[in-house]
Amino acid sequence: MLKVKNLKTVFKVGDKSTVAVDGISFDVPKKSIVGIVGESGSGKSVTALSILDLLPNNGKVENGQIIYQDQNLQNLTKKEMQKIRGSEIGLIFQNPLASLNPVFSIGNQMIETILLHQDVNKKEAKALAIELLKKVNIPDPEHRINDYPHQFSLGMCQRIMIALTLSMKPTLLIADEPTASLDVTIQAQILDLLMKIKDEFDMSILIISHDLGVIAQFCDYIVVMYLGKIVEKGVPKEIFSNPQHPYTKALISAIPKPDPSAKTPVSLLRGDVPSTMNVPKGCHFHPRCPNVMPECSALIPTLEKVKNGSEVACLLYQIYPSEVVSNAKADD
Amino acid sequence: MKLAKMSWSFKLSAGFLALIIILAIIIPMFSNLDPNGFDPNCIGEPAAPSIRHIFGTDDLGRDILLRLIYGARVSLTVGLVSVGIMIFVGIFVGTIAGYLGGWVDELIMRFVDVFMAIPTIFLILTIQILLKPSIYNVMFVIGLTSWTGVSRLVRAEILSIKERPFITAAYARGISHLRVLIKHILPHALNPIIVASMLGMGTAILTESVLSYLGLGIQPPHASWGNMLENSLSFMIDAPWMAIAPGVLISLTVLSLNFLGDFLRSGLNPRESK
Repeated sequence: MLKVKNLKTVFKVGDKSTVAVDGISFDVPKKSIVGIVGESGSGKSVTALSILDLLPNNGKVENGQIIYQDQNLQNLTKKEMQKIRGSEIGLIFQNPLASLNPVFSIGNQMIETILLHQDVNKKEAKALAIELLKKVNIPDPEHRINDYPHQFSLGMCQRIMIALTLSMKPTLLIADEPTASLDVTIQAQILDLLMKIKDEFDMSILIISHDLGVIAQFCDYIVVMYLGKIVEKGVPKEIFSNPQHPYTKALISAIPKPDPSAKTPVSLLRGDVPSTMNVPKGCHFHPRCPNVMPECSALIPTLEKVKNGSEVACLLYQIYPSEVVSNAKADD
Repeated sequence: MKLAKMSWSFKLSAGFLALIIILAIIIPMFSNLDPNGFDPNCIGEPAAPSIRHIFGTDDLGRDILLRLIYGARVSLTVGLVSVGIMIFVGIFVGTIAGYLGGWVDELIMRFVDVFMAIPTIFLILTIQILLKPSIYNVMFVIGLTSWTGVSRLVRAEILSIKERPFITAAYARGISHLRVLIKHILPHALNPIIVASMLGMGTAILTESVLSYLGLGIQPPHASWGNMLENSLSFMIDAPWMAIAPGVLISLTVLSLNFLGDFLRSGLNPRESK
């Protein structure tokens, strides 16, 4: 349903420009859930904003195609794009409280959105809004609809954002770190809710997260990003049981386990994510890679299919496939 | 907002302003007293306050209280209309600069800088001398020279609000630019605008008084607080009541407007108004 091909997004900072998303491709098929994972600065959120043409003024999609239901979104006029936003592709953000306008009641904002996207009058819009709030488990929606965003908890705000997005009946929902600022129990509630509405509203979901654990349970497909590039993509089962890229391995080893007897996992990664202003030559990951080879600082790996069906961008699998892979395995 | 929670300074200022507004509207409507009419008993020299004339009379035997009430009409009208012009131009210019940003913003704000560098009072005086001084000119001149502050406030507010996540969220819901601007961004600037308009009203009333005092504002025989002050100048020693009444009235009105502005500044915050 959504096909992103070779997307490249560039930001201008002063005289310099920095590549935030560098030639990524992925598909979101109908009625499926696709997850994008990566650390902060890997270009996940920029990907979401690029799809909806909501980049800040200094950002620009330089290359690539975003194809939604057989139309290239980049060829659309501003007016047509405005129609796509919301009614076709909905977006929810990581900080739910900040994504609601603090000076209007939530009812006001919901009714505004419903009136914009559905052919109903104000009274019907209010009834619809109450119904949606009920659907996302806001208690006492008839009264709380007149409350302001700051009177709700963060988890409730995110559910209100979901209700707000549902009111436009999108066919694709992009959730940009929907659970990042929430308690674990609330995280589970929100993910459950997303699953429930996905079936009820027949949507596809593109979920963006830095937390593999969040994504693992319910995605049909996972894309791992690092510094604007896709390093690995595949089905969750393979990504978790048989990760190929050293970065994916490191991410998985970093997931905390709720087991008091388990030792704290030793981080496989050295240092921090480099700034996109200052991207390492060759493979972007090589300065932090535990399996780094001399070639890594010179050659840029491309995404290639490997044995288990995942696609991996790593020289380990391209230069000396069998030998190095077995060595790398032995290291684990 | 509950009445009991309001501070005494707010109650006093609101009450005072309400009293002046009501008097200025009602007295001229229901009485046929002429503010320019004179008391034949007091003609020739100012009469001190007495039961007949609570605030005394001026040198022409005109009742000062009555003239103050008629003058209030002038002052309040001048305040309202010039603040209206000021707010309108200020919001318009500030919105364009803040929302469009880039070189448009740069160009407009440098123009505003230039405009702010011109001493307003001399600009107003020059225009008043070139044009015939009338109440309409006074209002327009004050309005058109005082919008720069508002435009800066509005621009700053819009610059910060338009980067907030809920604005991106609004666009993501397919809401158009104009609607986002008017419905989602501008209301956030309302707070400083209301405060600025209260303070601006005080300044406008003061400016009108200054102009009238200099003989370039409201022309006699029409009463305004400013030209009553001017009139009192030559009798300052012998008849101080001629100066005290309009002077105190101007100060109290401006003070009340400032208190009101201050109160609204805190009262308009939705987080505090629960």
